[in-house]
Order: sequence, then C-alpha cells, then structure tokens
Amino acid sequence: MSDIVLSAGVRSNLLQLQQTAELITSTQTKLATGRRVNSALDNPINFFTAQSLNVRANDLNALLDTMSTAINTIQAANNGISAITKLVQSAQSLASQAQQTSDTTVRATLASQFDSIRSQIDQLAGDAGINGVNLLGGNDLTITLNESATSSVTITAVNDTTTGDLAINGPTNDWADIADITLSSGELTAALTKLRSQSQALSSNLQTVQIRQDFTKAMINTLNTGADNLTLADSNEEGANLLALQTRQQLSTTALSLASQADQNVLKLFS
Amino acid sequence: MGLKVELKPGERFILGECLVTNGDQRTRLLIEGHSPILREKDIMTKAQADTPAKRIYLVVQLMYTSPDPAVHHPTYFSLMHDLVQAAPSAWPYIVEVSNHILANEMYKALKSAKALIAYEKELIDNASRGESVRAGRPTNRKPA
Repeated sequence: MSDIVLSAGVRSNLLQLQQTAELITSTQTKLATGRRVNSALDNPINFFTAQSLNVRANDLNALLDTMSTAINTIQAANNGISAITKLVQSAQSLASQAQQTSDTTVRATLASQFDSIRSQIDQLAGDAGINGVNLLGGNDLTITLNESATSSVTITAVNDTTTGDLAINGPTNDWADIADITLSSGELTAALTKLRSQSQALSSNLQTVQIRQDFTKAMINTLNTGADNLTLADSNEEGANLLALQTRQQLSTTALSLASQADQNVLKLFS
Repeated sequence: MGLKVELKPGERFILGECLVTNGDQRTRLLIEGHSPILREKDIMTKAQADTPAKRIYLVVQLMYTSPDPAVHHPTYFSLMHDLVQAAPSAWPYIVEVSNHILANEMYKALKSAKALIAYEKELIDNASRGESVRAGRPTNRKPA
C-alpha cells in the first residue's frame, strides 16, 4: 500500500482540527471538574500546589479519624470510671451498714457482698476499652496531631483494678472486728479520691483532643476551598482583591471581635 | 536551657500575662519555663493590624498570649477564609501557620504568620505597580 501524501494546506487544516478537538476536550474537563487547571500542563505551579493541598486535606482526614477513635476511647474510659465510682460508693454503704451492727453473721454476709463488688469493679476496669486500647487497663493512648506526626499527645493509662491503683483489699476476717471494717472503709475513701482525680484528668485530655479535632475540621474545609480557588489564581487579581478586602474588613464583625479580644488580652498593656 | 533576652533601656516585652519594662540601663535576662515571651519588635498592636495578613498575625499572637487559645479559633478561621478567598496562592503560608497552631507551637506559628505578611505585601505591591511584573511572580511561590 502506498503512503497517503498530504498537501501543506490539508496538513494545516488537520492540525487545526486536532487543536480544536483538544480545546473542546479540555473545556469539557474544565466544565466537568469546575477547575481551570486540570493537568500539570495547564499551569504547572498551580496544579502541583493544588494537588498537594488536596493530598494534605486527605492526610488531615485520616488524622481526624484517629482523633475520633481517640475521643471514643477516652469517653469509654470516662464511662468506666463513673460506673466504678458508683460501685465503690455502694461498697462504702455496705461498710457503713456493717459498722452499725454487731452481729458477726450479718457482717460476714455484708463482707461477702463487698467481695463480689470488688470482682465487679475488676471486670468493669477490664471492659472499658475500645479497639484494644483500655485506658483503665494499662494501655497508653497516643494521638497524633499533625500530618508529619511531629506532634502528639499521650494519655497515660491507669490500672483501675482493686489490686491495682484503687488498692481495695478483700474484707479481712469477714469484717468480724470493727477495725477490719474501718480499714476497708478507709481504702474505699482513698479509691474514690483517686477516681475523681482520674476523671478530671481524662476530661481535660478529652477537651484538648476535641479542640484539636474542631481545628482540624475547620482546616480541612478551608483547605478544600483553597485548593479549588488556587487553580484560578492570578497574582495581580489577588493583590487587588487583598486591597479590597483590607477596606472591607475594617467594618466587619470579625475585625470588631478581634479588637475586643485584643482588649481583653495582655496586649492591651502594650500601647 | 533557658531563653536569653537582652533589653535596651526602656525596652518592653511580654512575659506570660505580664508586661515587663526594662529600667534605664541595658539588661540581660535568662528566662526558663513555658510562659509565652514576646519581644517588643515582634508585637503587633490592634492599631497596627490593618491588613488581612496582619490581622491573622494579631489573632495568632492573641492565641499565643491567651490562657485559653481556643477562644480565638473562630476569629482565626474567619480571617483565614477571607484571605484565601482573596488570595488563594497564599495557601501554603496559611497551611504552615495552621499546622504550627495544631501542634501547639505558637511561636513558630507567629514566625510563619510574619512570612504571610511579607507575601501579602509582595502581592499588594505587585498589584499597585501594574501588570508588568506578572511574568516574574510565580517563581517566588512556595510549594505547599
């Protein structure tokens, strides 16, 4: 088969047709994605910056998942602590009942009830975990706070068993002697104090992680719009926009609240 | 290892929630601990913060010196949103500031906010000088 020879005129027409087809495809892609820059060839710098912003948003989303799991784990531990607190309180009421009677048979019954509450406490402490992390059972929880994993928070676990941090011993002598009951009662009071401080520490950790979570969410939202807008960027337009924004912001509520926040800060001394 | 601060006569700085003013001679201080420290030259006052990026610097500064930084987060995001709408190419800077805030490295966040102010100035200057500089612009852009 002999080659088909194209004249210069036909060649140039064909070339134009091909270019038009390319233009149509690219316009269609732009229409479909809503972005002006779709490939590295359109505008390399904007494309790669936008790409990396999108990747960043994805990384942050993964972080957000970790934070949500962490929040659930902390909440599970906190629920465990409140349930254990209730059990310790009922153990204490058993002790005070025992103190009010001199009948050793009754005391022995109360003592055995006390012992069964102890094993319930141990069970609860063992079940307070999520995804294999139990903050009441000695598993520390480490939460990563940024994508590069250079910043993290570690929540140190406690050991809320009767033989562990709570240190509630079994009833000596079946509470036959009043001194045995006083001993148990003292241990229970100490355990309650310990539980209260553990719960406070957990709440403050929970708050820290929640603040970071909200911040990350807001960051992802703005990151996504940022990446989309970036493909439309033009530096002169941006400069003009900034000047307009500068004027507009002077009267905005954000600027007003910024000013009032500054007035409440140590910065007010600096004028 | 503490922070060494050298003060000129009458120079002021913020230490925690206090304003410290030097007396009438040069002083060298060694400060240890975790309180926020801000030198006079790094401080942006309410009156000075008159551009979008400078306002972001001010709010980061408020977070740094405030006992409860989270109070300022909504203001921060509102300002940041404004800026990104106006100048999307400032994104890499904003991300840097945000990441430092997220990692609770407020002093580094302030440093990055300073870079943002410089970038904003560049954009505004370019716009006031006109179209001629357009070709040279993108090379200065930081990768994300």
